[in-house]
Amino acid sequence: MNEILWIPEYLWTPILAGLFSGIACSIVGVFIVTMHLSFLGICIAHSAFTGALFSLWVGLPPLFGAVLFSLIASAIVGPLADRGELSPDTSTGIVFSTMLGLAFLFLGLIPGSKASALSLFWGNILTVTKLDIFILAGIALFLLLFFSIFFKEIHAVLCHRQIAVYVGIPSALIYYLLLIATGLTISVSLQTVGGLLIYCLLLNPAASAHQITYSFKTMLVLSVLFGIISCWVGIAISYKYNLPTGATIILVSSFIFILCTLFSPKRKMKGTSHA
Amino acid sequence: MNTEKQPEHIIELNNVSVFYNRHQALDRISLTFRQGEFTVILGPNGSGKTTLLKVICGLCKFQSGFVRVLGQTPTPFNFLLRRKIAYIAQVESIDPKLPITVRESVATGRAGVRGLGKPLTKADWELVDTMIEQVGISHLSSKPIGHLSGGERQKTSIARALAQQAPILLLDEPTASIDPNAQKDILKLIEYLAELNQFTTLYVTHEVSMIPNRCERIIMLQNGKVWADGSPEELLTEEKLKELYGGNGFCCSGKFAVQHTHHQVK
Repeated sequence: MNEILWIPEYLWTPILAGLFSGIACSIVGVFIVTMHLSFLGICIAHSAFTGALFSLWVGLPPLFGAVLFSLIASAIVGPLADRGELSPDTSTGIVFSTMLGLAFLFLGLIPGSKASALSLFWGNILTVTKLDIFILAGIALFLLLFFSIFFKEIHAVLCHRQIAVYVGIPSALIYYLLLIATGLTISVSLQTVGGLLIYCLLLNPAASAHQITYSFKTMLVLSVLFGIISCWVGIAISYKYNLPTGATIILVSSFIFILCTLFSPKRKMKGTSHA
Repeated sequence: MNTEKQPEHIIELNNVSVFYNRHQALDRISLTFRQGEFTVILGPNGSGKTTLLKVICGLCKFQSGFVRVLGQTPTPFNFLLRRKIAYIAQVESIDPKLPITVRESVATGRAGVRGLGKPLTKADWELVDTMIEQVGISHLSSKPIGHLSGGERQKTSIARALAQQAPILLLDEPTASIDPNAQKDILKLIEYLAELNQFTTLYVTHEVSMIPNRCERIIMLQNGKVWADGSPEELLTEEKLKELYGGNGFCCSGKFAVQHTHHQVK
C-alpha cells in the first residue's frame, strides 16, 4: 500500500476534504452563531440539498443545483427579513418548508434507483473527487481572504449591525455577501458530510469557540481549529472502526462543544448582564 | 474638531415629506441648521422626531422636497456622507456573550472613516483610546460590551461617535432606558463634549426634563409638522408645552418634567 507520511494514499483525499470543509464551515459558522441565525443555517442547508436533488432529476451535477438553490434561498430570506414585513424566523420558516416540500417532490421524480439521492442525506467523504477538493479549497481560501480583508467591517456588522449602518459601513452588502458565502459553503460541503449533518458542522465548532472567548479574532481561530479537529478525528475514528464518516465527524464536534460548555468562563457570567 | 470649511447652513431641509405606507411621518418640513448650533427636537411620541434624524443621515427615503447635508444629498448609499454624521441611538439590550469589547466597539467609529477593506492604523487605535478616556470609561476598555450597564453602554456609544470625528452629532433619545443617575451623567457629558468639539448637534427627546442647558434652539414637532421653532426662553412655557403634549395628557406627565428641567419654564 502506498503511504505518504505514514498515511495510506487513498486517505489523503478525505483528509484534505476534511481540512477545507472544516475551515469553510467553521468560518461561516461564526457568522451564523454570532448573529443568532442557526435556523437560517438549517434553511440554507436544506435548500442546497433540494437543489442537489433537482440536479439529479434533470441530469446535472448535484453541485450546480445545490449552489443555485442555496443562493436563491439566501437571496429570498435576507431581504425579506430586512424589509420588516415578516419576522426573520417566519420568512426563514416559509422558505425552509417550501424547500423541504420541493426536496420530497424531486426525490419522488428522480427516475430509477434513489441511492445517489439518498447518499446526499449523509454524504460520503471517502468518495470525494480531486475536483471536489479544488472547489472546497477555493471556497476555504475565498472565506479566509474575505474575512482577513474585511475583518473590521464583518466584526462591526456581526456585533452591531445597526451601528455599522450609522458609521457608514455598507452593512447590507457585507451581510448579503456573508449569506451568499454561507450558501456556497454549504453547497460545496454537501458531499462531504451530507445535507442532514452539515448544519452541525456549521454550528458546533463556532458555538464551541463562542463558549470560551470574548475575542472575535480568537473565536474565528478556535472555530477553524475545532472544525478541522472534528473532521480529522472523525475520519480517523470512522476509518479505524468502520463507521459512517459524517456521523463520527458530527459526534466529535458535539463532544468538543460539550467540553467547551463545561469549561466555559461565560457560565459564571450568566445573569450578570445589566442589559 | 473638523477644520474643513463648511457652508453656514450645514443641514438644509426644504419641503420634505415622508410617508410610511399611508401614514405621513413628516409633512412638508423646511428647516436649516447652522454650524455649531445645539438644537433640541421636542415632541410627543410619533411626532416624527426620529424620522427627521433618519432623513438627515440618509436612512429614510423622503417622498418630496430636498435635503442637503454638508452640501450633499443623503441617501442610503451615501456612505461617505454618513461617515461625517455621528448618530447615537437609544441604548438597546444586547447579548452578554457577544464577542466584542468596549475598545473594539469604539473602534467601529473609525471603521467607517478608514474605508472599506483598510485596516485600522496605530493612530486610529490611539484616537480610540483617547476618546474612551475622554468619556471616562478607560477602566472598562477591555470588558465585553454585553457586561456593561445601560449608562456605561451609552458612554461607549458617545466615545464611538467621537471617534468618528464627525462635524454633525445626532442624538436620538440618548438618555432613554437608563437609570436617573446615569441620565444626569450622560446629559452632562453630551453638553461638555458638544461645547468642546463645537458639533452641530440635533438632540431628540420627548422629555422636557432631558433638555440640556447648552440648548440654543428648540424645534417642536407635532404630527410630522414643525409646530414651533425658537429659543428655549420663547418655547419652554407651561402653556406651549401643554398645547404641544395635548392638554391634560401633559398635565399628568409633563408638569413633573417641567419642574425638573434645567431651563426656566415660565
